[in-house]
Amino acid sequence: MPPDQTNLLQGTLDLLILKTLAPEELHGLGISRRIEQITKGTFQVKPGSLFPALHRMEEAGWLVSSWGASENNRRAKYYRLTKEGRDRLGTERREWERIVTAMASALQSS
Amino acid sequence: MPLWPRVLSLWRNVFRGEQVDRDLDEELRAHLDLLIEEKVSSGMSAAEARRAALLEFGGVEQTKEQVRASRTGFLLETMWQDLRYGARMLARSPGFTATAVVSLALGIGATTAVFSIFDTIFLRPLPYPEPDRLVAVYEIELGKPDGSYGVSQPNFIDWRKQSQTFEQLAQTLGPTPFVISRSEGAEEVSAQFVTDGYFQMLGARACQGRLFVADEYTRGKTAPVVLSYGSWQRLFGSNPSIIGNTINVNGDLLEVVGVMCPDFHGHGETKIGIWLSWNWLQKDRKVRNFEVIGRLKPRISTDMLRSWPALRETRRLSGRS
Repeated sequence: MPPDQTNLLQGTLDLLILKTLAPEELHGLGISRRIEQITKGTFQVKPGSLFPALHRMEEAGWLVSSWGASENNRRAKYYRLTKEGRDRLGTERREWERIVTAMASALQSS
Repeated sequence: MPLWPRVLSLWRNVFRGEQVDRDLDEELRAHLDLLIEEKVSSGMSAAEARRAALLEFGGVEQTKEQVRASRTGFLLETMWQDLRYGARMLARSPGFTATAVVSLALGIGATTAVFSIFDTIFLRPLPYPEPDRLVAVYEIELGKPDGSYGVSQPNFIDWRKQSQTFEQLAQTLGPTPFVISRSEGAEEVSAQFVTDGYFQMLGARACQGRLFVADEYTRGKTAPVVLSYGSWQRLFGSNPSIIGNTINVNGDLLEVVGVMCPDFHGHGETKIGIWLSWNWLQKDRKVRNFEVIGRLKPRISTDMLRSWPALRETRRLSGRS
């Protein structure tokens, strides 16, 4: 991994996946590329972290998966958010904002 | 986190593990294919694209392992694998397995046996009300504290009259084998002589008829007998009209006055079949072959008993279940 890339914090990956899947359903590689895109290349999610997270979130009932055809007509497993997944996205987003605010004020104080 | 999806996942992962694994294989292969395709369309040759994709993907097997480890029921699955591995290893060396199994069996058996004895003797309370108030009483010769004897009948009668220490005292003799003869044939039972108050002291009740009363051995008529529930069932077919009738015990005709309830078998190791009461008196104070059991009055401890010179030796009754 190039040195300028940040390691994903446990927890931020869940939030990023939920956020990525909010507008549309995507397959694994699609999610990975979209995360790269929306974080301007800061986060590159390897399959070794992506798939355990996807399966864990599916077991938790936030995602459902189904087999479908890719853009070039290849078989791929697509993930989309459930109602619980959307609720979770809201919760995680608020939690994240709380952390960011807290960290920012901590770093600004002298 | 909702419980239901978890339960479903656990079910799927444990019982349909192969299908879940196949699905994962397929998903990862598809991912790799998409990755290769992406490289090819950005201008790489097929071989180059494959190399680059594999490089970017990282270890496929490693990824599978990580997914498996994140699943619900992963611990259960690995435990099951360990168990199967253990069973295979044991099956491969039957000699070792047999030795281990036999050692374990003997070890567990011996421990259980020792504990059962320990439990009966020391841990389990006697099956009587307030068992810690019950003591066995012996005579000793003054100045010879080492030997202890049974109690003579006259001494017992005096103690019962005079004692400030015991709420109740009862004297017993036996158990000893007696023969009950009926028209169907003769049968041997364990018999025990007891005084009145014996049953009451141990909290034992009669389910038919009555227990022995105070003047039983001065009445001078047919000696009374109390049957155990078991003897009543086995020898007299649970016949309730046996009460008041005579039965042949060792050639003498005795009157059945009562039948004990099923839970009482006597206070010692032997299961008693019949109880007899004295209708005679052994007047010699030197004939000390009777046992005495006493129930202490409240606020009297066994320590206090030891300071009473005539009754120094006391100990708890040996327990039985």
